[in-house]
Amino acid sequence: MKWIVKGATAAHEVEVEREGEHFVVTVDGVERVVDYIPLDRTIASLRYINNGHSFHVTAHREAKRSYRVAVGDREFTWDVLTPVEAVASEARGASAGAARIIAPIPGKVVKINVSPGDDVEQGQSIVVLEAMKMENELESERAGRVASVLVSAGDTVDAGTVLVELEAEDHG
Amino acid sequence: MKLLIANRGEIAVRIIRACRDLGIGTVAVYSEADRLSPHVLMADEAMPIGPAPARESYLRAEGILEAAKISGATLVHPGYGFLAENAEFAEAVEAQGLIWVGPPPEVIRVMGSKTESRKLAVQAGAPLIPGMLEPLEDLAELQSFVDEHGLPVLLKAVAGGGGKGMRAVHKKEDLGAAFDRARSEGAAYFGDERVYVERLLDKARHIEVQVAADNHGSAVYIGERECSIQRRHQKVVEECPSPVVGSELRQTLGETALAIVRASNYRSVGTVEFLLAPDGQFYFLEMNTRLQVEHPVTEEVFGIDLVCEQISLALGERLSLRQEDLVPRGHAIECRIYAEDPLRGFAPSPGVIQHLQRPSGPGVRVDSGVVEGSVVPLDYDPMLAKLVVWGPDRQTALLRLKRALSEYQVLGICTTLTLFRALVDMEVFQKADFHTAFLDQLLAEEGLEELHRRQDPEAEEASLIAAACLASLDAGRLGNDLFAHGECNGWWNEGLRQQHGRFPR
Repeated sequence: MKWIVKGATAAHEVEVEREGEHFVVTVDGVERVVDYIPLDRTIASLRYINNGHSFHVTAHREAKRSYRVAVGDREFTWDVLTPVEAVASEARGASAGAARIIAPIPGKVVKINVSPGDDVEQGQSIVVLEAMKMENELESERAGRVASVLVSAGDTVDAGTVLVELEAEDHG
Repeated sequence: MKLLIANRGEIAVRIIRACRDLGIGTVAVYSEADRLSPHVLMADEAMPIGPAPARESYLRAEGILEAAKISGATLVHPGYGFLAENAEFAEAVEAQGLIWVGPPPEVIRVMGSKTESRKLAVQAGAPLIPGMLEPLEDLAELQSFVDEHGLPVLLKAVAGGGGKGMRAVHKKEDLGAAFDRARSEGAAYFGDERVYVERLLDKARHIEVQVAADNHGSAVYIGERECSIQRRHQKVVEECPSPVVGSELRQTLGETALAIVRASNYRSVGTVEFLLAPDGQFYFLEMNTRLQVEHPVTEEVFGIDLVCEQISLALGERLSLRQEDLVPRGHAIECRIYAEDPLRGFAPSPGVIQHLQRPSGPGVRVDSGVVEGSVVPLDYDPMLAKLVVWGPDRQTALLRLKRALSEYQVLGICTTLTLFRALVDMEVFQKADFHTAFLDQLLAEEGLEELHRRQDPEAEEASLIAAACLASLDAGRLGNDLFAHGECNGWWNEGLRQQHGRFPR
């Protein structure tokens, strides 16, 4: 499955496939074959098959798609986004503060996490949209109060469909 | 004999251990947030003293004195912080017929005032940073000081301490605003708006001397500590001995510290702090009339127990230490582990410690106030534990520090371990080429995550791969079977063996 992995300075195109007990991970076109063995929910052992290099990994999910990962004694944070989420996140950057949650691509609404009148925070997951065989979290671009929910779970929507509207800024 | 510990966290645990070594009974006090904290579970007796906010529990003298009365404690140890440098509390303890484990209240009062302690240091012949001996009357007086001595200058609250109530001024036009801010900070934090001014020394190191004095006229100095690695005037790494202090300077600093001890009629253990300028000149900074957070590095290098010594001094015993026996052996380094997130501007990181693995092995000591499962509340100082390493020389101590940092695991909350892991690999740290502003400058120039990335690019790629693997597993698309048995043990015992069939049964 494909991911856009965003770090502090750069974004990487990553593809992860399972191959027996190994993972084949392609990072910006470079293939690595690894063992990734979870030891419990937050600790794992990562081993490169080609050279045997082993790392003790501690990772926890800070937010829906944000992972904080310590490898050995180094620590990093990564946002692991589906390609659709990455596009939505780009769009958010371009029009920060918009009052509507819009489907960036055609898909099926899996879940709506809010109801009219709810107060939401910036970055809060509002709608889960299934597209390209992936569940994509669509987040609010700003804090505010939900004015209306225009779709229902199970609806199939086109790109550009307004899914949820927030109240105007001065009411939020 | 019974000793009440008017504190919490790692220092309360440390004091209980000293009491056990001396055969003295222990009474812990605790707020509503601390019923299950290690110091409460460890003590022989434990008394509740109020709700979680420190103002209503650990800072409320009446409640603590009442707990002492009910429990029949004979001594009160204040630890550090909270009421440790509160002369009124010390007086109230003694007025109740209890033994105060610390210096006489009048010494606490004098040393608690920056201007009074500077006057006392002058009497003792200690060099002072050029500055005023009296609080500033007004802005005009500050301006004439700057005209005479130049910039930069440091404005300090007379009653200040712990890095609060200090403002550096580098430009003349900022003087007025800084003067107003320092006064209002002094009023807000310490209830005293008076401020005074001194020259700000560039690239100075913080060197402090451990002292101990008894009621019978004997006093010794017990080497120095280097505490130049600070963040916003708060120490984060301390060493003993200082990498830049030789035996001659050690003796000079020690004798200067003892002159201040004698001039103030100090008794108990204490610390005299100095700044050491790049030209080798040193200046008196202040005296701390209590046990220091960083006392373990001195203990490791001198093979002594400062808390036991402090308690026996409070009981009127003679010093067990002789100056000629106090020879430093090897090198010790301490890291203060805080519940803060160094990757997010050191924001507080309260929560539950879900997993805790402490380092061990030769030369490693951990003084900790938390265990796995501990809740780290927002109500108190965020220091969780102190990692102390000792080695026969600084180089060995650094390698042991690196080993211990790689073994130390805390999950559930973020900690400053992340910071120390970056620091220990830096050449400036290895060469001890630092000063009190070093860490703030480093963090301003380069984020910690960038520092990790630069120091270990392979780890960066591995962490990216791990994040992508984990996200794929979380998404449930690539073999939910890896997590099929859920929690740690069940999965380890069943899932892993079934999955891979290559682990011993």
